[in-house]
Amino acid sequence: MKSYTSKIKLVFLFLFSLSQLLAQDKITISGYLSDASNGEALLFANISIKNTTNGINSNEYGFYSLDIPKNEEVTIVYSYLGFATLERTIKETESKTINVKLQSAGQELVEVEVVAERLNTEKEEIKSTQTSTIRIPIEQIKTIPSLGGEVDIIKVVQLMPGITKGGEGGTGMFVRGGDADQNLVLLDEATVYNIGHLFGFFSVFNPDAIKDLTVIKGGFPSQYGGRLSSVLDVRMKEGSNQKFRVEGGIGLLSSRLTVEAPIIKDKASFLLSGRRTYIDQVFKLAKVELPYYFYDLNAKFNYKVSDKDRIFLSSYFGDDVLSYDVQGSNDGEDDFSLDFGFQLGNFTQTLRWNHIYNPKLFSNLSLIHTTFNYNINGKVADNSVLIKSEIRDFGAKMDFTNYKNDKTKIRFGTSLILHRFRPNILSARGDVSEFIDNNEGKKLFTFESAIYGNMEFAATEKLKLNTGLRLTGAAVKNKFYPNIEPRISANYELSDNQSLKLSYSRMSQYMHRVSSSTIALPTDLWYPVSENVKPQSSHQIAAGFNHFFDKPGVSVTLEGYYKTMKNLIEYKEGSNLILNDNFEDLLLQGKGKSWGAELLVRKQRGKVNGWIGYTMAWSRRYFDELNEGEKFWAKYDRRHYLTLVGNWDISKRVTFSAVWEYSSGARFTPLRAQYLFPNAALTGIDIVPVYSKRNEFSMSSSHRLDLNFVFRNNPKKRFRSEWHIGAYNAYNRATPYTIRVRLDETTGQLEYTQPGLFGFIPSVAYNFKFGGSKK
Amino acid sequence: MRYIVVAFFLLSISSFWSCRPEPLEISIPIQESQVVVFSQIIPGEFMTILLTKTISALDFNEEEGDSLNQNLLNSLLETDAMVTISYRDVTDTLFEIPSNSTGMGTGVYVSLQTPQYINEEYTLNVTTKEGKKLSSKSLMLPLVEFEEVIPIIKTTSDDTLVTVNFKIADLPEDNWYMLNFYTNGDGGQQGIDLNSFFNSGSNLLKRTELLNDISFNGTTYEGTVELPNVSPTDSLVVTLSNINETYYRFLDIRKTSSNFFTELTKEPITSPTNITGGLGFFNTHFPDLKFYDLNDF
Repeated sequence: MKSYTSKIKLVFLFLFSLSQLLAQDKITISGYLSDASNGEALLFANISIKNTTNGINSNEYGFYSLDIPKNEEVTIVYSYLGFATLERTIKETESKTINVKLQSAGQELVEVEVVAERLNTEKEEIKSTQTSTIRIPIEQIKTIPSLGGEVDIIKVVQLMPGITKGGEGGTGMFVRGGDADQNLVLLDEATVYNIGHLFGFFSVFNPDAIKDLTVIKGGFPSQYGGRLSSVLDVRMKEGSNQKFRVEGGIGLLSSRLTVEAPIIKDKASFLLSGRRTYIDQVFKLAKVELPYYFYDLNAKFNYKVSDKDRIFLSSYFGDDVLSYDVQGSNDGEDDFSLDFGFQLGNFTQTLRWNHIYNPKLFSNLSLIHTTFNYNINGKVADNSVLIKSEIRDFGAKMDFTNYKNDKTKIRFGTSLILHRFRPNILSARGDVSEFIDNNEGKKLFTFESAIYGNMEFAATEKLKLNTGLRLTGAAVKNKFYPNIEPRISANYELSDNQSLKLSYSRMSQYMHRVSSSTIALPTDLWYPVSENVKPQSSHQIAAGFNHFFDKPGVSVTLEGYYKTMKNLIEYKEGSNLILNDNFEDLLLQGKGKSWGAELLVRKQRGKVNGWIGYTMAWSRRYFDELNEGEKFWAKYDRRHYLTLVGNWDISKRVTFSAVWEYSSGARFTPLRAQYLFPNAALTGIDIVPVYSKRNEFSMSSSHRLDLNFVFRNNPKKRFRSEWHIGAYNAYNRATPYTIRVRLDETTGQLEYTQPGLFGFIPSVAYNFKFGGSKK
Repeated sequence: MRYIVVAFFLLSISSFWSCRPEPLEISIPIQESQVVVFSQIIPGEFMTILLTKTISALDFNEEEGDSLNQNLLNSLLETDAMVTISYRDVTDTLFEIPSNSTGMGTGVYVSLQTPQYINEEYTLNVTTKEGKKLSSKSLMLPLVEFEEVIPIIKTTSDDTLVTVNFKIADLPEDNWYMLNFYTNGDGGQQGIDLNSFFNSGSNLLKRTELLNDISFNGTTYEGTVELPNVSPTDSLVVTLSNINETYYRFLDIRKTSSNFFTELTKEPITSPTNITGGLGFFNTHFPDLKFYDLNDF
């Protein structure tokens, strides 16, 4: 590894020597920013030079690199949301490493340089070229009410403008008119293929193990690719390298426990976090069988090898398991047995190596393994059927960031992923094998590669540009699909508090999720491009206006977008993909177009904080073989979506949170009529349904209020606890998920109705933590 | 304590379902009734057209306990329509068969004099008594006969299985085939009872196989079909029809859409039609029919 490192060093020292020569009057201050209480890296923190416009953000590992004038006294300001801002005045003659620990705003301020919490983070967002991006620090969402009292980061993401949910309570996301499979969900850089437990009602992300979440809906930086509509970049906590710390919670549906501790203080630490439902166990006590459960396990280890090298090993493992087994006898004659179950789960592993070549060049190498599989089994007496599907990825990413000077940052790298698919493995035994053919599940290999680079620079005093290019390709049997994906973002600063932004992205997607149903099921198949199935691609342009109001500390973002999509995937009507080995014949590819406007008014600080999000959007589809070739609205084409999310810290011990959302109904294709028609042999009559045009009607609009109170014990105690008492759908109003024909028992007439899934649901949860700081 | 904990959790879980909200009402305009066409050719004898009407989703729902009673069925018949079939510059007007009991129209229209020219295009035109106009064109497809049909009864120690081996000499052009296997027919008399169309009689359809000749165009196709629900003592009728592509798609969708997931999720499925201004099919194909008494095998 050492000789490899040296070679890379030489190459880059040569490449960047010119820029170094031109910047001799400046020196570079670099280092890591971390949380003083636990050593966790602070991602995307703001580092600036006081009384200047020069500033930079720490990267996703907390590293920063900032140019300052040589031999001149300057004050560097370090700020991060929720932390006390720290100012450090220095006068240096040569480049220097300064690792900085920030203290939580809630803690007593122990260092003389520390000043009150300031507003640099929001202002930095105004200055950033990044459009259509929302960052959600996990601590800010832990009081937001949710279904069953289970804190769920996906449900919070769904409350942001531009992101439409699927059915009620589900984790499906439809971003800017895209489809549910167009979201790249990364957990420590590993792709998570199935983000839902319990048929999607709960996300797989255990909030105690998560540190930070970034949602990108447009203006995608070139390091991201592989999906058309969004990137959900979830980062796990590293584990406290300061003190032993335990955190947990007991909820109605699941309980969780997280342990983190230093192995070697300031050098190595670990985190272990588990979560499990115990509905099955509770029912077992009552001698009732409910043989379903899910669980998650997050683990992370990090080791600071040297000042320049850090290693992180993280893993996630989660399963949904149903196992139903009945033994009995039939009138005392023949014994019978019934065994039915399924298991589906994700397994991710990421090994990352951060290396600092010099104060201006940072790199990360990631080796990634991801598996998603499901098994469905059924056994009655001597007959059994087993259906399995699996996708396994092996990937490597190499990423470099060169902080060329205080106006220019260059990021480049490469990624290689080998996807191995085994869809629809089918095994039948007994008499049933006469009707169901065994299928070994052909192995499909897809090799996905990318080279990318982007440069962020100040074109003028007020205009910042981020220009990038991503060259991607997917190699499958007998075919190679290359794609050129230009990316560009621009920011024009109207004032210190106002900016205009513009971005363009082209995206390609080499994997599709195919489903037999408009309802997304965890068992839907991920399927790669092939000789016949082409990659999806999109063009998106987004423009926005940003304003930050200092006084109330409120940021306002107004964005519009227009997106075209090609080779979208649908299936032929009436297709059955589950027991079908040749489902390529059942897939259709078509076009899509979406456009809309989004408003986000957000207050991230203070006793009262939260956001208002509003989306007005349209999303259309065009498939030659659907809807008689006429264009139709996408299933989740919701015209209006309004969310109000508020947290009120009534005191240090009591917080009240509320969410109200209003949403136009999803599109629907109702049964309009039916007719009688002789069957093929004229031996009987079939009732043939007649539906409306595809997605011709909208279900009714819905609105819902969720509430949550948090009561904490004395925050000065070592053992801190809090009760969450909340209510989902406080006024018990239906959110329609379908349109059905039902008999009105009072009139005796048939009528269309729209049932809802969840009514008023009270919840209570108890959370605790001890050890570590009192943060 | 244990029971308190259990009760607490049971109460909590049940709260998920205890407060199910009232469904919301929605007004969807009633769809105007459409005319449905069904046709049948008795080779060398006559052509029949049956006209019926669609039923609104709010007038009939099997899941809510509605059944196909005679009054409902009678109300669906499209009577007193003007039905013509045109070919080679000739237009034949079909006459409606009256009911034996009431003398009223039955919605079944017959032409006894229309000749059946192979590969000739026939045009159906319908004008209903309300003035609605429908039309359709269909090519009279040539009869394709089985080269061979052999029922086989496989007997093992546990079970007996009826299978049928068959051979079809495919025609050179693109073809789509429908094979039907049904039992307990009355001596191989296939067809509908013109006086009681909706009475399905005693025939029991056991299996429908659909073939398109992409993989065997112009050659002889050999196939085997297992009929696990046919008894070795049944009478078996096997038919082969050379059908058009649209009807093939209709049958294929009807067949594949009856899967578990579609039933579960109520996926909307659009059934193809070759009728302009209506639904159903104007078909001009002939079946080749084989009758077997399985006791002989």
